Amino acid sequence: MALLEAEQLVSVFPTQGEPVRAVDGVDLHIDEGETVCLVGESGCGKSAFALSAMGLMPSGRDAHPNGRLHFDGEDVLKWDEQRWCAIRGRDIGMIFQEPMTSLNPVIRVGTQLMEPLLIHGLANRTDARRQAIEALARVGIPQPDRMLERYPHELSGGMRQRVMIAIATICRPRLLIADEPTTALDVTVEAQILELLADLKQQHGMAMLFITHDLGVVAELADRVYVMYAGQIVESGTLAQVFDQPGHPYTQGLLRSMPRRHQRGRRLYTIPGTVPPPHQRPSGCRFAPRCPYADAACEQPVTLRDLAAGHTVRCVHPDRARSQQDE
Amino acid sequence: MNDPVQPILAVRNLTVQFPLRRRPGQPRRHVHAVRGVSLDIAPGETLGLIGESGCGKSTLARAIVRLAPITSGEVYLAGNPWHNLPERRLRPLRPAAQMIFQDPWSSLNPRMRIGRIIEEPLIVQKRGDRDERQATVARVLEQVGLHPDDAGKYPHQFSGGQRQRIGIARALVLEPQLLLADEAVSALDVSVQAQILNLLADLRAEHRFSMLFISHDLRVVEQVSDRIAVMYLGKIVELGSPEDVLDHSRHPYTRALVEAVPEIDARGRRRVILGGEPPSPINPPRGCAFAGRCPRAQDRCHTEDAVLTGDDHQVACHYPLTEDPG
Repeated sequence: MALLEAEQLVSVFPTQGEPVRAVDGVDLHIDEGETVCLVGESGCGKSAFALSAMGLMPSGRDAHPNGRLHFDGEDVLKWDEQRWCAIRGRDIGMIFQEPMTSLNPVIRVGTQLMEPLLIHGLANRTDARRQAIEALARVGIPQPDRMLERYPHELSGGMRQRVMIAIATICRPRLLIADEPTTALDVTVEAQILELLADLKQQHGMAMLFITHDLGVVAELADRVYVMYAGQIVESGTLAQVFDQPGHPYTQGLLRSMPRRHQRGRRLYTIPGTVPPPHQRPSGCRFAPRCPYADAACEQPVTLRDLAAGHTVRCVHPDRARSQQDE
Repeated sequence: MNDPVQPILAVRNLTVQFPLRRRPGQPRRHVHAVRGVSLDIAPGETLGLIGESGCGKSTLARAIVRLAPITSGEVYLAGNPWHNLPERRLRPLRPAAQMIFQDPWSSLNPRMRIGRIIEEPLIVQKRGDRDERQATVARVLEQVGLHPDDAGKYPHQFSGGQRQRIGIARALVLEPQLLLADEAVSALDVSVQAQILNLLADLRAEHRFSMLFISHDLRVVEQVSDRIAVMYLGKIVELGSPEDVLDHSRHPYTRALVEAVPEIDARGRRRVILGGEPPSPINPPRGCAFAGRCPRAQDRCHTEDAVLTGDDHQVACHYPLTEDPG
């Protein structure tokens, strides 16, 4: 059984006009101990999915009558805020992109670290303090006992993100949701943090949903990959399936438009056009207006279909895209 | 170097320091943002500048165009001294060096129409009459892949990639000899980033301007650069062709940067991950700034700074890496 399972999940941002369907029928599952990467460009709905999985989206169950979201077999869309509070931070941890704005600037690091243990009743103060020091040591912070007394502004970006990871994992959650946790960091520090997350995952058997726009990071980290476009999953599979044999023209386009080592001066592939705004999404395939292989068949809504075991794609003509890829 | 062609840009021993607020009873301290940088950019050449946040790469670019105060050192643009000119004499020369900024949201005035944003440099420089200027604006808009009718729109009507095209149009309208692009594609999604990189390549082929291309993303820098400079705590630590610098890195910091890049094509490789973080530019270490994180550092590295040496491939390191990584 999957640890987290979304089926046809819809999440909506209320606006003054028509509500925005940021997540528009997403199927995604994460197994125990697995690292799943959710990739996509700005506005595709990947962060909104993360918020939904944490029970932090504004809309309630009414907004998505057909959607299902299960954590450890329980229907989380039925949970009230009290139940969520018991789960968040204990069973599901979360790390956000910007470590400065997600730490409280007026509270010492130690207090912020101990808070989840105390709130969930997992430790008394003495024990929480000991565990906080251990957690800081685990994320590679030198002199962890002294770090407890510091304030976030005294730390560098990399150190702050380590503290965030220590807070998010201090209760040993079964699922860690990380939304672009290294995007604001320098590349050498990013490498340190990615290695740390991989270590934590290995030591604790923690599952991870890692959200990023950087395909290079995905290649370093993922067991399985989901590619998101305009609110929908357009492709999913193992890292090798998605990166070596992409079936969706959008996945292909992303992979080909990324600058890579040893391709100096070569012209980059570009995906024509732009992502449609939420209220102007085509009724058929949402990528069709930008797709080199689109035809009349793409004007009907496209469902996810299997390409191989565990490899699905939302495309009517995956064969066309792939024959092009081989050239 | 024995280049017979006069460089478009020559920077000599450039230093930029920002004073910090004085604390009672203590001497005034400074942020040593740029600590003695020398480099040349040849006509038509793109020099890529890589470094992590706080290394001084943006300050270097801003000092070159005199947007940051030069503490000491010299800057020559097409052979003419530029570092010591008063603003009054600088202004007529400014068209020669133009800048593209990182953030396409904050670098365009939201209350100005696009046509006016691009026309403004022409007005400041007293170029042409109104009709001529508007014809120029229309031409430049087309060159960057926008429509002349877009001149009547406001910045909020454009996407991030289109806004960056507007920023490029504004920089190009004065036909600069040198373009300074400071993280010009860093805020863009990968598919849009590819469009802008291709656009810059096309414009470069057509206009033959030189470029200082600053980025923290080594993959992007490799894509566009003729030569690459690596900066660490205010100094250039390695400089040379992309092949030399990236494939045959001699500075341990460059090697670490190259290995840190998350790569699609090198899945599952083992890599050496650099520990620690750069030291503070307020109190730069006496020796090599990288020594504290360097796996090869010896006693000498902590006391004696390494100077950039070499001909085409220059490195500032007492114990540089040799060809065989063994």
